[in-house]
Amino acid sequence: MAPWSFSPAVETAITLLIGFCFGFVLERAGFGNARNLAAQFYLHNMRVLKVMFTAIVTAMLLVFFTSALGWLDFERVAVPATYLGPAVLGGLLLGVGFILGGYCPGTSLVAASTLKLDGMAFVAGVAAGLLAFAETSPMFWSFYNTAGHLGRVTLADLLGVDAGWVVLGVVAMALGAFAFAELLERKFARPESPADAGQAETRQPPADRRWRWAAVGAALGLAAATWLVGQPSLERKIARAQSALDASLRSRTVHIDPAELLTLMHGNQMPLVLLDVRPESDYHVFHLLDARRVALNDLTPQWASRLPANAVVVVMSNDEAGAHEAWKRLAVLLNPNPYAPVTDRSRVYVLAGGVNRWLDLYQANRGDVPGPEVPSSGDDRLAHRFTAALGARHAVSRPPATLASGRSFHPKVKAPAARRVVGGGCG
Amino acid sequence: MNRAEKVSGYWNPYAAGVVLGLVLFGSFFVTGSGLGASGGLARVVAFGERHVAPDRVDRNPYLAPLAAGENLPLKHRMVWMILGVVVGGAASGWLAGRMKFETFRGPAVSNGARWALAVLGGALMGYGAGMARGCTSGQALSGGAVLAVGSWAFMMMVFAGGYALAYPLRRLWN
Repeated sequence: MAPWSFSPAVETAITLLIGFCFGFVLERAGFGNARNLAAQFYLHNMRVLKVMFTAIVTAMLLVFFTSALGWLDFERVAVPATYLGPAVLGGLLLGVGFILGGYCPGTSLVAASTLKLDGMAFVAGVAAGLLAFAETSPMFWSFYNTAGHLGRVTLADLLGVDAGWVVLGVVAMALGAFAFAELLERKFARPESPADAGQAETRQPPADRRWRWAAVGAALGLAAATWLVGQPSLERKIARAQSALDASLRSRTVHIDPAELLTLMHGNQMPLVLLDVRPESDYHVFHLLDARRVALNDLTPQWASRLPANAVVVVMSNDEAGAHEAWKRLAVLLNPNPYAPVTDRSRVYVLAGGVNRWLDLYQANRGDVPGPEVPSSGDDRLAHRFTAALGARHAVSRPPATLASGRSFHPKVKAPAARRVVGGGCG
Repeated sequence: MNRAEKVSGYWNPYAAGVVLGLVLFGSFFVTGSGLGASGGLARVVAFGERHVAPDRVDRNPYLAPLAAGENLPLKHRMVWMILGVVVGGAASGWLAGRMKFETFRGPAVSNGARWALAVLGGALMGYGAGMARGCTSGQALSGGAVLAVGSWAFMMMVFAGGYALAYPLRRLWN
């Protein structure tokens, strides 16, 4: 599922190609000419609004439509983190810079590349401004990093609705803005100005009009389809990857022996997160040292984003059924590609046999405790009796390391590789 | 396409917008990231300062992650991106016969004043792009397409800032 990871050389080539297309289109759109850009603010040539809004709508429709169909994993698309304070202040500065200088950083590069002297001056100005920001930002570093910091949040998250609603709304708003822009251009037309005399032209060739209505129909159709299908919830993503996830669980490659977990608990070699998905009452009666209790519904993308990077996660229930459900959620949340069979890249494991087998081994000291390849009984209830609710103060919550070495097992947990961080667009 | 657009050689703005949107979507779909310009320029600036005053880069919280120690400021996708933008813009301008030294300015402004204003406007934009963590490409266009809240706030403020000063500064462009 897109987006994909590439080797550095391939990624460089792709980025160069994308940049080439970006620069080519900006130039063809007329954005290498400051007069076309500044005209936006004098209402007689609304090229900037038309190009930008059309581009935003086109990309938005395709991103959310492919995400709805499950072709694109939106969680791995770089959404710029929201810092409202700096965004508002910075936006105002850009607006003022726009009307004074006539370009923005991207378009000034295009102007400079076609030998426009004002474009070159603008690029030099941008560099100076960035340098000035770098040198002065320590003075308001906390404002820069905290003012209105909401993190990765979309308008759909903010409104608490499916992104399809926002997509429909933005398309409707864009169509209204285009109609208004055409109206303004006619009203403020300047036929005497050679650069944009054409904008005053009200008579459109019939072919042009047909294309226009076809484009409006396509945009509305795509928006409606996106809204109808809806963005994939975690449950839907799990359902899509069901066969691969079940195969991984059946093969028992993700189940680890109690002794391996005990070794990890004593080893301190990698960040270890123990997740206990049992009912709260069972958790209070007994749980492993440092195990966190979570309900299945707590395992959301927001929760997953707060996990320490490279942490190994071990989930457990009394038996295995509850742990399997949690494992599926986490596998989809944390695995870069949940559709591929889970391999040793996985960082989420299941405690084989659950807390019951742990207690069989370390409290009841039974000699016949099977290895992780053997499925459990299937009864996901606490099988051991306790006279008091000791939680993690029970001696078996973290038995001594000597007990771990007394049992042979094939280690499965590998330190996970560093996760590739998808960088943002700018900054 | 109407008569003057045929003369100017620029694309119909809606058609250009669709193509730009396809490029942006392609970038998101294939690499997971959008387009950008100021991020690459910030790295070029960091590269320059590293050669003049490496100590200052090391102590600066904005520049250090870009260029301090073993961080190579130019070995980054945003730098490749602006390199592509320059080559792509030049290719388009050359093919359309627009590759020539000239200065775009309002009729009431001299060349020298236009260059000075371009530097000033560029500096404000550079400062603002640093502040906003992106420019019209990375924030407004890319962030807007994925519906980022901050990007939409940013975009509205860019237009607000521009329109607020458009009338007092009308002599610059008209």
